Amino acid sequence: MKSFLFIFILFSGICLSQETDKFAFELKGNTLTGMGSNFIADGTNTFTGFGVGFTGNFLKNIGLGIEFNKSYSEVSDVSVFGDLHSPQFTTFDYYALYRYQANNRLSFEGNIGGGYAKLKSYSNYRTKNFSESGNAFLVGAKAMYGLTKNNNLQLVAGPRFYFLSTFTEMNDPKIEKYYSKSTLLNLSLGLRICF
Amino acid sequence: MANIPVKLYAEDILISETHTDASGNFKLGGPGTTKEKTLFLNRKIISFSPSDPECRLDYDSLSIILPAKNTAFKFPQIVFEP
Repeated sequence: MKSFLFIFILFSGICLSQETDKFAFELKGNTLTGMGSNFIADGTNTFTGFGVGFTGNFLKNIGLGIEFNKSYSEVSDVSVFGDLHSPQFTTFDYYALYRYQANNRLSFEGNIGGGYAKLKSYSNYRTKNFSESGNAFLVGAKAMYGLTKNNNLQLVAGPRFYFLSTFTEMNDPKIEKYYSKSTLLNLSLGLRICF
Repeated sequence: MANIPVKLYAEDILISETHTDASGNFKLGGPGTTKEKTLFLNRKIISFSPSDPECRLDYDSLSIILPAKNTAFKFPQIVFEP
């Protein structure tokens, strides 16, 4: 009975505050480039791929978001990355967002959160792929521009930084840092459907 | 010696490859394996100074065999037969 009551209150709460769009579904194209001196920046080209996301605003300007991104690249330096090919970078992100409405068409959003990341590559010599996983801290911003009268369809674009830590253990701390810590710049352009 | 091909194998699988630079230095990295690895230089090696004493010369002196335990190795000097 207690749980029924809770669900009822939550549900009615969402319905009553439906005067503006609360939820958004996002589909976007991504580029992802390694920055600085690390095995991704030196060993791979820019990744390109796609992403899908879902956001919800729970307080006035504050909300939560989840995102799935997958990008593809090629190895640029075998001596750094190893004799592998077609690296794929997959992330599952979760973040808090703050939205600022600049005018009736344009709004901005700041994102801060974390993610689970996986870097998978293929070998010419064995059928099993080589993959490593890690955690990422992310911070980014997005600009949204309403394409329709009621802003239900929005163009969305923005930069995001991923600070990635993969689980790589080496006996040399400098080499371990080179192969486990990397910064990636993500640029995205997409469409958002609000409801 | 400049521009010498250097290859790193785990059994017969090529892990990584590069060339020595103008001053004869090289760096190699690649996917980790738990097996013994072979640093193939394709030149007769007279002597080398490894960071790990378990590194040993292959029977044909063309490669240095890296033990399975470590993940990073340094060689301050590798001397080839003239």
